[in-house]
Amino acid sequence: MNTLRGIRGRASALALFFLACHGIATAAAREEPIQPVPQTLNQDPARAALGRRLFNDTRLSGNGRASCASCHDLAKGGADGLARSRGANGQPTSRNAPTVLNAALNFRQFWNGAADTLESQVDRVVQSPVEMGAKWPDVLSVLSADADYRREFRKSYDDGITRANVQNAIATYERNLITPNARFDRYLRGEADAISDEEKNGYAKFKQYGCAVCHQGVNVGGNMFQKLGVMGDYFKKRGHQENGDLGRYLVTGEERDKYVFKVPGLRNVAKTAPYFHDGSVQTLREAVDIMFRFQIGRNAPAADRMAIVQFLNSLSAEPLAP
Amino acid sequence: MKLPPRFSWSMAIVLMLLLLGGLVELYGRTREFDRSAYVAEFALLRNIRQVDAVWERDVLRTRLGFIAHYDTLAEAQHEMWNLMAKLEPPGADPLRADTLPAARARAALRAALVQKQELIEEFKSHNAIMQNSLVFLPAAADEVLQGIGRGQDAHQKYPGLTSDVNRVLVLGLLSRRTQANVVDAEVELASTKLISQRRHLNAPMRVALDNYLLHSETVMRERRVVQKVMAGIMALPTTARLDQLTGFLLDEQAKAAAADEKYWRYGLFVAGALSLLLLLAAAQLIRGRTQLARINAELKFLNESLEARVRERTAELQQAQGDLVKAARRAGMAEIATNVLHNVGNVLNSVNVSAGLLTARLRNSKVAGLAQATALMNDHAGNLGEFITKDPKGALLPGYLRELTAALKSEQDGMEKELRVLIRSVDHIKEVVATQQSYAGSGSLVEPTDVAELVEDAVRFNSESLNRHQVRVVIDLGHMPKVPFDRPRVTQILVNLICNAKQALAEVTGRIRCINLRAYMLDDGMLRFAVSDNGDGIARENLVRIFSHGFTTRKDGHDFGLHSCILAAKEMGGALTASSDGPGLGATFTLDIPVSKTMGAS
Repeated sequence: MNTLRGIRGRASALALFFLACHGIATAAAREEPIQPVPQTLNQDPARAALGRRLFNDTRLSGNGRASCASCHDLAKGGADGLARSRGANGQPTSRNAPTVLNAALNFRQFWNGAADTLESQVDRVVQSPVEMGAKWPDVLSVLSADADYRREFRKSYDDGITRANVQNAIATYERNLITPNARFDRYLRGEADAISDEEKNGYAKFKQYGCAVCHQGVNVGGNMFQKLGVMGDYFKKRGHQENGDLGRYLVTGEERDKYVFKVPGLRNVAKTAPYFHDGSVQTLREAVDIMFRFQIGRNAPAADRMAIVQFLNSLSAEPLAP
Repeated sequence: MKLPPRFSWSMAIVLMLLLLGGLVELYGRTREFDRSAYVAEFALLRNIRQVDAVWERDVLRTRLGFIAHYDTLAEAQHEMWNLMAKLEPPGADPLRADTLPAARARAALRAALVQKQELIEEFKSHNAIMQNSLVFLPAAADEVLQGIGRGQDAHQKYPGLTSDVNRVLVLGLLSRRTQANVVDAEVELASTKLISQRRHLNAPMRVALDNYLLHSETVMRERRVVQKVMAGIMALPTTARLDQLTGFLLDEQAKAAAADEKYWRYGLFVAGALSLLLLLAAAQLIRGRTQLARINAELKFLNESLEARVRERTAELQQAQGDLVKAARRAGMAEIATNVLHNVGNVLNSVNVSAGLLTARLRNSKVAGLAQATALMNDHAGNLGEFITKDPKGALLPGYLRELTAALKSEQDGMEKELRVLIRSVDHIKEVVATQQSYAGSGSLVEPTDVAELVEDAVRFNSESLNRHQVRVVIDLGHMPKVPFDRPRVTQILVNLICNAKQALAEVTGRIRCINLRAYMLDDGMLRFAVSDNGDGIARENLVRIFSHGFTTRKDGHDFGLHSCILAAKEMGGALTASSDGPGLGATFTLDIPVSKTMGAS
């Protein structure tokens, strides 16, 4: 009787041990700072198709010369390759255009996080005088004059063409512009050979040097704010200062938010040069150096930095539904 | 029969309606308390509480390094605001928000959550920096320690440096468990010592030390911030606000439930009163019903006796009607007889006159003169030639005979003429009597009849006078089956119509007098006879009048022929109509007889 109990006790202890091991293993898998992009965000196809038309329609700008796609060109990684994007009237805007790819995965939109949602981002850009420079009543009346739009909106929305529906359609399309099949994502999903050894090494360095402290999550960033120049004064080094450099301060007016920006997601970063909110940096290598100096506050051998750049290259992919 | 006056229906109905209205009102008031809405809001508040707890828990887990990314915090935040959007319906009146404590509590909850969100953002930023430096700290310490080397030499060269570096490292790594201000003081002390040693170091070592100190300082600074922020997060009164909101909801529910119960009690009372009233009314109705049944029975009895009486009366009436019909028939026959007698009398008058005239003529006949002349000639039978040539009296005889012959001739002509009148009068009487005979029979006799035979009969009856008037009769029948109808009556009508047509032709000259007789079946089961002539025709205004009693356009016409014809036609359920294109253009008489109907009647 006693022996039996002993055996049973030991067996259950063993089971507990295995369970614990399993739990730890699962926990370990979850602890990876970067998570794979979901295959879909399950958007309504009709609305997305409508959003795609609107995204590429220059009639959304005040002078009919710029569409969303003007600054968020899918052929250029969802951005425009310019240091500062140009508005509908050709004048430069105050910041570099972030990519539209995976923008849906950001917790907020714009460099300073001024918009909670993609819809609100659309709202602001369309009305901004230096960006699309339009007024909603004009936009809506122009769109309403188009029989195709009238029909498509009626199909997708009960109340037809409205400001909110235009925004929602574009945002719906943008939620389809995610890139779930980067080589690195495949690696995260278990394809061990999807990235090269150099890139694996680069990922290890990326974590080791603390890059992944901020650039983490599904979008390798895009889920927190951080001050540009934690370990040194970036703007002093750059030489001059502009209003746009104030970052989130422009939204909150809080002293502590000066120079604070949304940590940009690094997906497709290899395709979206130049870098930073001011587009002042041309190459990834330079960007990595600046990060090391002003954000991490560390030295690293050139080989490690190059490895990190290589890792960053494995984050590029085409959107599933362009 | 009246219901007892002590139960007033109008009063009862008014009272019932009042009670019913009260009941509906009470029911409506109980309905205002929507339990599902309360349940939904409870669930929502509980959900918010959960997400809030998860949010805080994830802050802790992130802080402790169990979560390596900030997506979970961003997700919790996103979910929280989605829930809050449900809690704060859009378009809520801000004025009302100020007056309602629940709305105030909601606003306070939102403010606390906004604050929480901001603090969590701060937490994320500072925690990241802290983590970065914290992870790097051992490596940075290593860099410094590698520079100064190990062993006794290093200790002598840089007294206390190693231990200070290690102290800073240990405090940096483990200070979670100790009191913050003590740790701060200790780290500051160690750091100051390290800085004081800085001048003894070479350049690369200085860089390493500076970096080490920078990161340790960062760790200490960021940790303070993180701790403060976390304390702030935990101190936020979100739970209290949620408790408050739940409390309001509970209060509201309790109040509503109490009111509900009150209304239910009232409702029960009112419903009871209403039921009582209804019961009373029902009792009244039952009593009314028995009375009604009794009245009904009486009424039924009365009704039945009434019916019997009506039946009796009906029978009497039917009898009377039959008598009347008989009487009418007799009267009609009497009328016809009167007519006949009248007409016959009239004609008899002329017969009488004719007879008188003939008698007078015969009495005054010149035949006597012939006898005298014959006697004179007999007297002189021996010498007749001498008597005629020599005797003066005899000489007059041939002249006399000549005159006598002429006189007798004229006399004969007159009598013949008078006799013709007489014969015609007699003919007339015959006709009238024949007509009378057709009515003498009682009722009609329906028998299958050969139409062709009938038409021929009708023509034959008139053949003598038709021949006399040189009228050509054309009969167009086609194929006709034997059909059942009242043969004598139809024959009589046709005889009349042919006679009528013949009369219409009497004065026609210059064209062949013609009567056209047709008979054919109509689609609706009527047999049609059409008698057309090309005679005088009928003026439009007379088309109907010709059928009325006593109408005639003829000098010698007896005046009831067409009238009796139309009566006979109607009696058979048929019709007789006349049509004419106008005077001189002939006329057509159309007789329609229902064949099948006649059958049915038989």
